[in-house]
Amino acid sequence: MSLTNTKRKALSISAAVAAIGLLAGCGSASAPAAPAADAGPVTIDVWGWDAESTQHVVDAFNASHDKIKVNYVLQASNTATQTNFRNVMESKKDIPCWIPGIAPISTVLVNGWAQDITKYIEPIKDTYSKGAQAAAQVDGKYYGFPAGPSATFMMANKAVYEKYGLAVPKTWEDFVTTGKELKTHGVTVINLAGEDPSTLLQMSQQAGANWFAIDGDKWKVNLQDDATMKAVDIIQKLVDNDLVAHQTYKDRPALYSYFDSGQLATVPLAWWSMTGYQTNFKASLGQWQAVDVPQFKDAKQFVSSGFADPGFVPVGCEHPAAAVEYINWTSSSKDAIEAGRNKKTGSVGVPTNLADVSAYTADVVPDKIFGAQPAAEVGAVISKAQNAAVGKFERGPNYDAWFPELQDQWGKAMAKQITLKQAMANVQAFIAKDLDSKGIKYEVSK
Amino acid sequence: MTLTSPPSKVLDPNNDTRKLELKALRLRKRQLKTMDNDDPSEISGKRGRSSWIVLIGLVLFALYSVGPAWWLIVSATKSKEDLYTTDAMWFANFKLFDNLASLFTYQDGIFGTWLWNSLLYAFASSIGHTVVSMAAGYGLAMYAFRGKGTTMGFIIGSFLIPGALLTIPSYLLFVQIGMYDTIWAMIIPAFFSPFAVYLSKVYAEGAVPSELLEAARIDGAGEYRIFFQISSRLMTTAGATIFLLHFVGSWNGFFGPLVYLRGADKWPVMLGLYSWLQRGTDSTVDLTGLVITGSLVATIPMVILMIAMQRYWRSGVAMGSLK
Repeated sequence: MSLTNTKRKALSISAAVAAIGLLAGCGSASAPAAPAADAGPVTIDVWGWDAESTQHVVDAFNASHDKIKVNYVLQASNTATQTNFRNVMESKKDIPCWIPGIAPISTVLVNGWAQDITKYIEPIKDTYSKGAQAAAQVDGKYYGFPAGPSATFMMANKAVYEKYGLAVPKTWEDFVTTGKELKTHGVTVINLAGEDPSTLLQMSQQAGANWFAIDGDKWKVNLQDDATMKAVDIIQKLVDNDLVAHQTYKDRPALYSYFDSGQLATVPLAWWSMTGYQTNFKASLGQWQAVDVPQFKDAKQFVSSGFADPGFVPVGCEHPAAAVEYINWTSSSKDAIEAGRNKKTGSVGVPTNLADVSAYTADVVPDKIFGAQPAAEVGAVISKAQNAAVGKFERGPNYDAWFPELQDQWGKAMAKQITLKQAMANVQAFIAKDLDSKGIKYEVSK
Repeated sequence: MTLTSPPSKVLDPNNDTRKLELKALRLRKRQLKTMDNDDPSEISGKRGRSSWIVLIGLVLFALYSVGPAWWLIVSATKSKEDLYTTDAMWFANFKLFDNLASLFTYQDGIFGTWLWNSLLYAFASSIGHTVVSMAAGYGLAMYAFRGKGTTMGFIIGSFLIPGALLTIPSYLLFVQIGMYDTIWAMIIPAFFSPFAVYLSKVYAEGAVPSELLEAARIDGAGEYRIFFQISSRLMTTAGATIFLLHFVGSWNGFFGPLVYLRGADKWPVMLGLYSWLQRGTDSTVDLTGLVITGSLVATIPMVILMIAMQRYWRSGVAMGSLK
């Protein structure tokens, strides 16, 4: 339960942008050349739910900066942050100056939560990857801080591929062919959980789809364009030929034991989930190999998928410059990244938004799961994926409403009750109805 | 010696004791016989069958109740490598002490702080909650005053409002009066509970005789003294019930602290465990094992409290003021 129960004004995008413009009218029309601290020492609250490294980073920041003092407020979880943020926006007291990503940036904007911070980001944007920059913008303006996705790569069970004399597929089209081969030996090529359509979103993103776009004062919605259909087509073939497993993420022990059993050939993943797999695998430890995510056959260049919800500076924060200066420092300064190093394991996370992460990826590779494949090589796979991340995948103003519907429809498609193509049409119809009910202007592009 | 006894027999004390002994033996035998389940008589046969059914039902129910607790104990002794990959209901490598060590050291040992916070909030709020509810319930039961019916109506009516509905208005109120993000937000609002007031009113009506109050008044006791020295002692059972119910509720409280407190250092243990559990799913660290060990540790105070407070119900039932 949260303040969403109180009737929120649904804003069209232009009204939202205008409203933000008014609310965030920061007096000075001339943008500073670089993010400078506001005059005099200021104290800002930053929120987050990371309990391991952020406090150390904040301490390091406070020790090395005298114009800005940062106070870190630890929240219980992503969900708790959303609840408490809605409340604080209602009470208008102690509004924080920084919130990590809690929703797609367009949703944040439509809710009237995020300030336009373009003038502070412009001078520093090149520190960050193109994908990270794209993810933080709505309609060409920065409403969030550049945020990189944890990009997708794959783990292939080398032992399985070698046993049947197969090569790990490099294109999605080959993925289907290889899947058919593996099926004859009773092995599935990939796991598609019935409750998790993220593979579809990620493949659509790779193919170049954008389900939502902003066109003047209205949204353009299209879940059935050619790019999306490329992804739909591949997944449909995998499902029709029974080449996939449907292990749910809700039952972790069963999921891990299936992944570990040699009955599954390939697992898409992001850098942070490697450790979890190593902890819970037994039989297959050392048999896995990190490989690039497959591409579509006619792809012009190598791209990887992954979504990022950028953090933002809330409307009502009086020191946006200070907030951006702090976040920029934590994201890019060597001292900050050092301060975040885990005292026990000695590793830092991958700073996913940087333009080049190759210095950090080898450190996060666990020691057993990849067997003979050296950490540097796995790291190279990860940085290749990070550097090629598309970053942007507009999820529209009502993601909270349509994503559960997509889950339902995806589940039906996985159970072969409908085709994935029908599912997409159904979700699009649902989105149209929902936007109507919220009074948000849109058009469905053909 | 009875009239029916044969005249030739002279009373012999030794013989008499022998008779008594025999009688006792026979009685004992009969007792044993009736206790025996293999009694061939039809009635006790039926009773035996139905008692077996009841017994089996109770055993099954006990297993059902103990199962989750058993799982918790077993899981708390496993390393994170064994947690998902070994038999859920039986031990693997015994790592309980390692788990306890990391439980109390992870995140700079904040778990200890959370436990302490939980104890403080639960005790302070339950004591206030009990005193206020008992006094209010007693007042409603024992005195006639203008507006008594209306007051009672409001109390009963407020049962209908779900607590969760009050969270946001309470939050806004606490922000305005400066109670937000202080321990008082966890303690003071808990003093007032219509249900507990109603419970103690009903109990007071049954347990506190008005003759006793009159007698006390004739002896010159004031109303406060009567309440604290006489009536409250007659209401121990209700007080203990109210205290325990609220203590458990406060100990397991989650949504209140989530909304009314800001920083992790004021969290109670349940909210802290939740934050770890949430962090386990989408980060490089899997804290599920710590959450399980933490849950086991966090149930211990509840168990101690239950055992310690049992006597109140036992004596409470047998207690009468007019012997």
